[in-house]
Amino acid sequence: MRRSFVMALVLAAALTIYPAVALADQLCASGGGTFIAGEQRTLGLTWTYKSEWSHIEGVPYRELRYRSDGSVSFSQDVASGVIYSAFSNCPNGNCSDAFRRTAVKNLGTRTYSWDMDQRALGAC
Amino acid sequence: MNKRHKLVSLALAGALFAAVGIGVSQAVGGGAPPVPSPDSRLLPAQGQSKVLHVAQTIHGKSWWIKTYTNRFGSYCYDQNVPDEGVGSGCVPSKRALFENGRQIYVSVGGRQNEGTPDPTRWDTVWINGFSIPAVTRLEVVNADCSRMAVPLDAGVFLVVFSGDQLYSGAWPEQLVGYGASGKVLSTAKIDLAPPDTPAARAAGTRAPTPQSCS
Repeated sequence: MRRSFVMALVLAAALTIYPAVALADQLCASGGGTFIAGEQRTLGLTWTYKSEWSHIEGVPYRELRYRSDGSVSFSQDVASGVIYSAFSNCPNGNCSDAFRRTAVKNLGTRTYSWDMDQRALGAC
Repeated sequence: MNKRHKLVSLALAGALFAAVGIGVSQAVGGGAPPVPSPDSRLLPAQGQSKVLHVAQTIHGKSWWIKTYTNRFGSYCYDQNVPDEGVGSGCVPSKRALFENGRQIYVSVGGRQNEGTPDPTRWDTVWINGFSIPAVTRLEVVNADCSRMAVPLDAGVFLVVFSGDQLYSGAWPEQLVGYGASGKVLSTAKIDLAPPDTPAARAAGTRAPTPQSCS
């Protein structure tokens, strides 16, 4: 009986800290490669709380997030030199998933590499 | 107590404590939305905090920029875009912003509202960036030659164009940086493009041709 009680206590403790455990986000869409000047790459539409752009520091580029109706919810031109950038749906620190497509456009004059991730807190 | 009784006791105790556990976690968390694990690249270095700049309220919405040095020594910024989230970026160092004689590091952003009345246009545009300490005042010059003061704080600037300004024809073209004497120290071109949408492409939407402003 004592062992049952201890096991139940462990279970209860685990459930108490469950929200902290359940906070790992998941990768819903990702891509990378090269793109020529003026070219745009777009990930698929998924639930997303965070878009990330990396390894594009050699050229200026445009970060984009689209809604399902094709309208632009966020666009930002980034001068060359930025080594990592992200956009999170976390107003006032409260994060939530929105249905978005993440995109990147090469604003430079030469071919360069691109790398994007799209993450959700819940299901993709 | 036989084995079956033990199993039933375990199940009952587990269910009871699970209910208590969930209740406690909800009470502690207050039913708050989840907060993901922080990205170490976007955390300030040990002992430092993010510094707020150019906070402003546009049509009841709060816009701001925060700067900091992250745990890897990069110079980073967060920018609040109301109703959508926070954009963040890092450069290797603050000095890297002003390499090759650059005095104004400018970036332009934009967004369309959900259900926008005109999918070929922006509903909000912002110009943000950094300037060298010698620049004490900034002004944006529009394609129609109208001018607008740019909020500047400790070398960080942000100016927001609302939908009513944009729909009445405002289109930012250039930033002008002035020194303490009032003399122009530097200028930077603002390359605002129409929204990257099929609607804008189909309509052939283009940036207005800039006039020659004195």
